[in-house]
Amino acid sequence: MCKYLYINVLLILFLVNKTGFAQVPENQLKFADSLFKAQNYFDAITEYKRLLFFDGNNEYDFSANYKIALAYKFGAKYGSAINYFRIASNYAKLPEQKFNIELMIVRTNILRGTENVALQMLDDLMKQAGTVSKKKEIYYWRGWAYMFKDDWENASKSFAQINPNHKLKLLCDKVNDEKYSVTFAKVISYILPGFGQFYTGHYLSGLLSLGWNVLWGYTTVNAFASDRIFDGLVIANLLWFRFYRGNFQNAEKFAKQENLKITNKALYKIQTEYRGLKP
Amino acid sequence: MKRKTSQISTIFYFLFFFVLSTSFAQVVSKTNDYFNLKNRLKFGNYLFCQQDYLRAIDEFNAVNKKIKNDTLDFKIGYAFEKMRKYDKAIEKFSELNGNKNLSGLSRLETGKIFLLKKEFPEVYKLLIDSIEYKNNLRQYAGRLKYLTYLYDNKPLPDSSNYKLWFSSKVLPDVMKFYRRKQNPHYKSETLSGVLSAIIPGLGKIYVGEIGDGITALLFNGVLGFLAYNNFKANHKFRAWLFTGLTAVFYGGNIYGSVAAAQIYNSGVNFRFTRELNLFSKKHNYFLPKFKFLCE
Amino acid sequence: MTRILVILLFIPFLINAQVDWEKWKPENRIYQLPENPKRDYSIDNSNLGTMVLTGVIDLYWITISDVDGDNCPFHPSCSTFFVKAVKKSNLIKGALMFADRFTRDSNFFKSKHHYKIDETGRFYDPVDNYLLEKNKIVFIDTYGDK
Repeated sequence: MCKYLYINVLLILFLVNKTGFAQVPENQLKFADSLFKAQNYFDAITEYKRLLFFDGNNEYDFSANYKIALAYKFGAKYGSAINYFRIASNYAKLPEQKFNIELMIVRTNILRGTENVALQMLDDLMKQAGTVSKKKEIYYWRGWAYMFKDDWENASKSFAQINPNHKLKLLCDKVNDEKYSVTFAKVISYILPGFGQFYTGHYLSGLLSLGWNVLWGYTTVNAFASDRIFDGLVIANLLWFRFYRGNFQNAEKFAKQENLKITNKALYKIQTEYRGLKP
Repeated sequence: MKRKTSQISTIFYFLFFFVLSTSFAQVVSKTNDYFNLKNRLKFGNYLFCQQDYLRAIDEFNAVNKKIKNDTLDFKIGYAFEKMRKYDKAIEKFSELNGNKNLSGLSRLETGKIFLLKKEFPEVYKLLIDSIEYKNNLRQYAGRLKYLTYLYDNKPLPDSSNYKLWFSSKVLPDVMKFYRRKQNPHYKSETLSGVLSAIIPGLGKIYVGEIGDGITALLFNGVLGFLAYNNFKANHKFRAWLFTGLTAVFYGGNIYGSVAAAQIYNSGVNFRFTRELNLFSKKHNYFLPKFKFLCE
Repeated sequence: MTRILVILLFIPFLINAQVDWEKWKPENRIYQLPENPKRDYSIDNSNLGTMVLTGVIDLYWITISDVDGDNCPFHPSCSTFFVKAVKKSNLIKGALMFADRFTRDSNFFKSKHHYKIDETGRFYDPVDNYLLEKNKIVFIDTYGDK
């Protein structure tokens, strides 16, 4: 009699253990992961939250919060993503994990358009980074931050630290070469009105600027030459100066505009053709 | 014989314990199943308190499908309200119309939503028979109704009503709003236009746009002078050109003075509503506060 | 003190929560930087009046306005304001509105206390506020927070 009771207690413990405690969190994790894999990020977050809520042993504090952050990142909810990365970082046990999470936060900041925060974080990480491979990773993301900041010169320098022939370094150099010099466009328009516009390929605007400046310049000089000082001052101030200022403002504007086009062409190329790690 | 019975009894015992143990295991596993009703409710409440309302609603709905629960319906409505999905909230609250305990509260919440939606007639319609409310809810209904009058553009009811409904603690503040609503510091559009017709720019100065007024006066003066001067010097074309320009700028200034007065007045309304909103929010529109075990 | 800490701990959660008040889908972040909006040079064919008006304005923009520098402190610019005003009302009312706008533009003492500076860095001054239609006025608060 006692023997059977003993067997039954064992049986109960076995069943409870199997169906009750051990299996459920694992299944829940699997379920959440499957939603995550199917790119159903909103529902995946719900299930990770459920797992965290019922996970009595705090076994999944790191992994579930990390996955939630990733899901938010894929949904372009960058603020929330960074918050959850920070929570996950608090539960991270290995320094390696912490470092990787910091890099994830950097990448999220790059995507969010807060590149300066990313650069500041990378500076701080650089001070602590021990190994060469870690430093290389930091340089890599620094390069990306600069590219998004439209600063291709510094981006090129960062990539060069990893490898002088780094694919992205070469691309940055190419963009730098292609870009128009804003200063040159402005200066040449100071000297020869309209020529800054010609330099950036805006011929009609350049011609109009040149025309107006010649016209009002001529009338001003003419007025002074024939001793109509008042007329000369009025025309110079109200008309010539106005078009002269418009001339070099346009030269600068067009150069920046064309540069933005070049930048965007390059960014499009990186997004569609580059196969390496992206933020 | 005896041996046989003992064998049967052992088999019986074994079966009995086996069935018992498996069923017990099932019970245990059920309480640990994340998707049973009890746990869904628990998780939903947690999400609700985290203000993760959309997810909370999903959990509540799952529970509600199996066991209809009016408190949950109320919470769902409340969550929709918090997410500013007012139409869905109203729909949910209206489902509670027949409920003994919650119909009054849900009608109050609906009234608040109509106020937030600026559909004032709906608020009155809902609260008009505030006598119908149970005694303890009547005061809320009354306050909400008279608060709505402060938002509405209808003529204000007599101030004695306010003294009747609001406690002496908030009454001075409410009466401040009442007086401001009654005598708003508007600038007259007509006066502004007339002033600008007499002296160009004066209407703008009256409204407070002093720089604009002086500029308008200068513009009209210079253009008028140029017209006069050219008539005098017999330059017909230029004279009429400047006369036309003067006329356009003179008319434009009168027009602009009226517009400036309108914009000024809309600013008065804007500031009034903003402050009233802050006040109402601070007092939760004078409605009961629900903690829902979140604190 | 602990209470403040608890509140501070929860703030990120509360901000997070609002993100999830709509069901969202994965979003592909496009790397390109935003480009500046361009002037609308199209000619409005809806009737002869607007056709002539937009044509004249286009000519003014191309030959003069685009090359004489960045002068207008307002958004929309005076010429755009004129076109919109005429389209939304009629030629006479539009001319009066334009004259008023031109006067206000010439006022040297306008400041951010009178107009709100919008994302283009200019004084925001929409046509709708000057149509003399009270319900269309959107008051723009220059002092307040929102």
